[in-house]
Amino acid sequence: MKPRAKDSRRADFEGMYDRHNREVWALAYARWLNADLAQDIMQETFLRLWRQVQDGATIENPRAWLLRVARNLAEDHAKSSFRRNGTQNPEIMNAVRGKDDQPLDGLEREETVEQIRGELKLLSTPDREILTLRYALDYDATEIADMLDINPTAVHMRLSRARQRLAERLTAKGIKESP
Amino acid sequence: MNTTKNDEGIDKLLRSYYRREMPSRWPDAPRGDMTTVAAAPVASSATMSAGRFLVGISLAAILALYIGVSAFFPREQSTGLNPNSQPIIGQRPGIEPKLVAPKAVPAPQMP
Repeated sequence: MKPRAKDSRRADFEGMYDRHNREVWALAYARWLNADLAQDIMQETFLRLWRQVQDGATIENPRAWLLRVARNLAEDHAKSSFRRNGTQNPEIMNAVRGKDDQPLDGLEREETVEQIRGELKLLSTPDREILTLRYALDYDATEIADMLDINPTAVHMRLSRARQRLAERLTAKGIKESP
Repeated sequence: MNTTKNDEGIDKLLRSYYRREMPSRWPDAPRGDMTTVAAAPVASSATMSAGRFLVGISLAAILALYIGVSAFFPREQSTGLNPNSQPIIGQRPGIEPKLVAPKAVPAPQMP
């Protein structure tokens, strides 16, 4: 391959990474509620895309391709990686914070975070995907519907239902809003 | 998104939660020379050869132990394949079996 063509492919790839990495992370996070694992899945997804690009494969819709691969990797993780590599489960991993730990930004205690995570786990993965896109990426219903290929009205309904359910449960636990 | 005042609390809470979970710094785009995170660890050929060798040694040791132990317990002569052999059940050496004639039973009379 000529160096110029290679540079062009790399630039295209990095453009796709910048446009979609947060979306890929959000889908992986919605599946496992584990930030570190979501980042690993995101990296693996883009690594596979890069190999496709290097091989000269043509991908008609890179965004759909990335989201599909990320979902598959997240599902495969349940079947294989935990047992095979001895990776700790998400509950344990989430108790370990990185060195670049951010201020809690209103969530004062780790306990509160764990309670929210526990309630999110009770929701379905599609509902968690919608919530993650809404609150992590600030997507509106139209953007979420476009990304997940569903009806915007369905996004509104599911978001409203999930939010109400979470509010009821968290209020019952004494968590009303961020302090 | 339409939100009421009641929703504002949960909105704020969830936004705080998700912002906290998101990476503070996003990594650079991966390059082709990276090792994959989710790839299965593959055993090297040396490790596999050593494993097979150990399995072979174990099987040989079990077989040798079996032969050694079985030498202490000699087998009895088997008569299972000799059609002329007699069963020895109920017989004692030196005692001849006696034949006992059956008692006569009167024939039943018709009424």
